[in-house]
Amino acid sequence: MGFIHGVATFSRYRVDGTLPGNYIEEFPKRILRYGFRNLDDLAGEERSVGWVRILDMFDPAFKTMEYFKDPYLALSWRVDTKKIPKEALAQYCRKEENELKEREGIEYLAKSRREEIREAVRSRLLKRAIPQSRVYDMVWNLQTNGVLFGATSNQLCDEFAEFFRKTFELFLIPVYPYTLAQRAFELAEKDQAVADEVRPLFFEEEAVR
Amino acid sequence: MSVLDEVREHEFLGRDFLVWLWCKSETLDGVFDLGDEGEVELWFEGKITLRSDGERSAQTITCTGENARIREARFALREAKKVTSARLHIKEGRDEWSFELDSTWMNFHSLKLPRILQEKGEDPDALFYQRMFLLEKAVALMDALFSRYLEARVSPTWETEEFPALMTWIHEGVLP
Repeated sequence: MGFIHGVATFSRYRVDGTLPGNYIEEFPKRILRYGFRNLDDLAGEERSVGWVRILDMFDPAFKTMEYFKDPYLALSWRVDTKKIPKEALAQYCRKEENELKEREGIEYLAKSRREEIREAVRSRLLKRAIPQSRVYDMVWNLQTNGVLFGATSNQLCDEFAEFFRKTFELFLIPVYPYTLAQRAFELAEKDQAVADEVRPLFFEEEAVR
Repeated sequence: MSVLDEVREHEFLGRDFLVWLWCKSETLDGVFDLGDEGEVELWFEGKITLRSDGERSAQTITCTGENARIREARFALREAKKVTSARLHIKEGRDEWSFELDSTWMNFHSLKLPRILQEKGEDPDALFYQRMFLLEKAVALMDALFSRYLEARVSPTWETEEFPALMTWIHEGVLP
């Protein structure tokens, strides 16, 4: 599923600003810096996001600059998440708390100690959890400044746009009907503001237009 | 104004475009002349989602399949229901694309591209370039159709010819 295989679902952006003149030298450093890191290498983290090769989600090393596919820059954005079931965390915490209370001969534990136990249990269980991996393709046409991103959920798209900004230091502007209308009027040599003159249509029987 | 507010304020642009496109696809034999982008055939593949904004909750109707259900969906427009997405099929020459387009963002969902014949051992980049060409082509065709709609929408004949014709189609299923 994605841009290379199967069916594609995607949202569209325009890159705000111009491509830096030295992007061929600069982008590889930034892509490597924001490359994906395995959760196994990030102690205590539940989530890891970063760039991987579009043709191989298991390769974050970028030994070559094959992501430059003139005129495109093609990468995948990998999101790994480890989740500890709420009930499992509660059960292990309860066990630890009971053992501690018995050892120390006390009836109640202070909130701060319960939190310490919870953090230690969470960290231990995280090491055992298997991450869930998702990859979303991203293709940036460096000639037209258009970007296609392989997801449509608002939350994920916002996070992606922010990650893109951090990596490339360029803002992404989402493409949607209003911006498309502005662009269409501009290309038709009309004022972009004509887009504001288009009003909603009403099809009801007694509609007042 | 945030992007999300702006998107919501102008979401009628996408849903009115889909109604216009639906009307044209049923009444022009589905053929659109897109100038530089050439001539394309477009039809609705039988899945249209409509939504009505009630005072307390929104109601969603999805019409799939038979003509009778699609006719029902068209009638629903008269009851203030708005098109929120539709499954479209575009044919240009020998290439065909099929996808769902939502009206709020005009994002593509489950886009099926024309079949690419790949030879064994072929450079994977060749597949990438062919797929990107076809993806961008689908986007360009939809943008060209949207431009056609906007052109009609701001033309002096919208109020006197285009809109009355659209209303006749909604009510009677044919153009005057």
